[in-house]
Amino acid sequence: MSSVFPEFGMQRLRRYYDVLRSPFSRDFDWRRMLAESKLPEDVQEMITDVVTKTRLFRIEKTYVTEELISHFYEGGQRGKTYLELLAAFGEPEVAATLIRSSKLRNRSMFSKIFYGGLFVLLASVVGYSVLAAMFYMGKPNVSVDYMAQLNDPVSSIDDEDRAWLVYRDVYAKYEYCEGGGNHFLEIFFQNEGHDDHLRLMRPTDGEQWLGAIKKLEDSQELLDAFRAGGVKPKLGLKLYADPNRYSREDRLALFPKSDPDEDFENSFYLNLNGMSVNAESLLVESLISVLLPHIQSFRQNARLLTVDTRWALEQADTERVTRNIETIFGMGRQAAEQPFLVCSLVGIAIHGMGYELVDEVIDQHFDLLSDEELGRIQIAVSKDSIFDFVNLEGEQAFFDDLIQRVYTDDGNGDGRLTPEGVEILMNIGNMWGSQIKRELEFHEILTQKLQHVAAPASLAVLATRKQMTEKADELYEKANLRFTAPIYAENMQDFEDELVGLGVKYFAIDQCFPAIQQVRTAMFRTIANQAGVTAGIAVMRYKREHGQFPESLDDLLGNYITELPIDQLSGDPLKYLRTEDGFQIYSVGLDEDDDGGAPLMVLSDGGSPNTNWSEEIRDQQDWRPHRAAEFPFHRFPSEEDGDWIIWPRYSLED
Amino acid sequence: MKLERELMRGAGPTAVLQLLSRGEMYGYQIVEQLAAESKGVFELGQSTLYPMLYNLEAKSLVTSTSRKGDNGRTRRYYKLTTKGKKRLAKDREQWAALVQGLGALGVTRGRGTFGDLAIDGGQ
Repeated sequence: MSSVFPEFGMQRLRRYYDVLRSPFSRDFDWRRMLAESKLPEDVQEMITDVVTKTRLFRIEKTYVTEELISHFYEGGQRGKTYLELLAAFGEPEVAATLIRSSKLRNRSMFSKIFYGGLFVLLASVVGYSVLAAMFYMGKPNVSVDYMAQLNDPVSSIDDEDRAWLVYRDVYAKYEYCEGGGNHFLEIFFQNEGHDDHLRLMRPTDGEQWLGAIKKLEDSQELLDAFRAGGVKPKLGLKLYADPNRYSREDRLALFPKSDPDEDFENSFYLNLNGMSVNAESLLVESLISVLLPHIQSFRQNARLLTVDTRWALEQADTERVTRNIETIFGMGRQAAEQPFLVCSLVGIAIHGMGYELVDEVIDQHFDLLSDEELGRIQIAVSKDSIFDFVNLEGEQAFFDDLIQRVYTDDGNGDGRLTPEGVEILMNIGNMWGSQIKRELEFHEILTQKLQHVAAPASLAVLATRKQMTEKADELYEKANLRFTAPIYAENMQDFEDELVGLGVKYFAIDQCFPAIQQVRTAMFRTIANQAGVTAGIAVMRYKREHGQFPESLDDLLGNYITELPIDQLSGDPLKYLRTEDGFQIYSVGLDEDDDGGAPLMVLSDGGSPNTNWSEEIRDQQDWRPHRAAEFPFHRFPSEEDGDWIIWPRYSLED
Repeated sequence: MKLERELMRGAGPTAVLQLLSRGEMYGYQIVEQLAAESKGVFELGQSTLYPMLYNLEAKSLVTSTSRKGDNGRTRRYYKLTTKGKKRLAKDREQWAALVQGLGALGVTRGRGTFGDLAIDGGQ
């Protein structure tokens, strides 16, 4: 250690060499060096005290020890007593502090960076280890049964009023859920070479129509059950995340492909690839995992009833026509009764199908219908408030239920993310994907392993339970206050921007918050449909009684309608236009510009719109009146023009 | 007479640099020389000297090497660097100006006490 080296070059190299070996080499054992110095014990103790308190690196301590040994030895050689030398040396604490600060200054930049980095690294490892320990010790505490809360209103419904009890047996018999709709392909017009353009069968479809009638004849029991159940005030079905909790009868109806005597593996449907047993268990019992096979089937019900209505018109069976229409609207209402937004949207969609059918029936077969039937149809069309279909309460419960499954619970509304929670959040996206449980690829396993290492970092990145729930509550409160405001008055763009800007901290909200704008689009489109179709029926009733069409919608007030139908896009009354062979009721459309009832259109080739359309051009266009109420307005500022014709409607199927 | 702590903090490094301007020295030797040549004014506690030397080394004003002395014991020798020499020259100018200023004010009685630090008293 003490060899003589040239000032620079070799000496510097030697210094680096010493630094590297100092933690391990016996040459830098300063205590041994001190012990071998033969200095008196009290001097050795003092040196030990000073050197220890410097808290320097081993090599630095060695240099200091060496210097202090030399100091006392030289003093002794000069005839000083060790007591005098000790007295002259001063306070060990002061010496240690001064020596430490001066030695720290003496360290090279490389050393400072290296050891600083090492310190940061070690501190990070220790810190992360603590974080990981906290993370992996965290367990969720599921304390609230949100499903029971949502099911609560169903308990008070009388069996007499429960449509599900009517549907249930025929659903099971026809194996109607879980793809059972495929048994009814005969009601779709098969246009060769245009498989992607299916529409419902019509009497003008020749041989295929006869096939549809045959199918309807074979399905009479099903249709009768629909008509019997459709007029019941409530669906009355309790929902469960775990299908094993359904009664045997319910399970047979909802999951006809599974053996009701065997355990139902919900996870198969949820695509839970590679999740831990704990996380899977938490997830399959959550509201996210509630399967709704019957809700999807309701669309199919409305289709069957639509085709059956066409057949009834052919048979001049207007009572059946009227009952079918009442049934479709009843089913829409029953679908929307279920607590989830997807159910609301299905209800809204079914009502949309109902308005299309009413338009078709009244526009083309008006004379067949009696005044009484017409009145019943008008009531069926207008009785529901579409606003009542949409309720965010179920969505909020859905979110709160998720939170209690991914966070710990400190009893005061706060908690931290758990390992199971991270797994659940990571898998939510997959749940909406394929229902086929795949074998994991190697890289997926590797990714999952890395996730285990990285997962504790989520504690530092994601919001705490309290932050997450407070933010969600705030957003739900805003949404509840604003989403029913008319589109012309409130575009909620700032709310959309806020959602987009949530960032990774509020990942759970980002993943789960409902698409409010799309819901509003569907809702207001349907409200406009309802208003327009109600007014259309009123116009036809007026004509029946007066022998001519009214000059304006104002003529209908009182006897036929109680208030003018409002255009949800402009806030003004819908436009009424007398045409050569009848009338039009239309909305001015997104641009709020009255184009005199010219239909909204977009050229198939993407070119400029042509508002001076003709019958000939119309057949070549891609008619998309449904886009009239789509959000946001500014997305198609120059590509679309024209008005949105509500009556008479041009079927989207054609 | 011993210097106040604050004065020692300012003057001590210059005194050490001045000593080292004569050639390399080890720690105890510096303590001894300072005390003797300053007539006890720079009687440094060793707990002050060694940190001072390490600070000077950190500023590259001195450099040190460890080797066996004539008594067979390992000593750490300190010597002035080029930068240290420049710094000493500057310090000396400043101290001379300070002494002159204090003298003009009647605080000091002449050059005696700080003679070694005066401009014309150096090497």
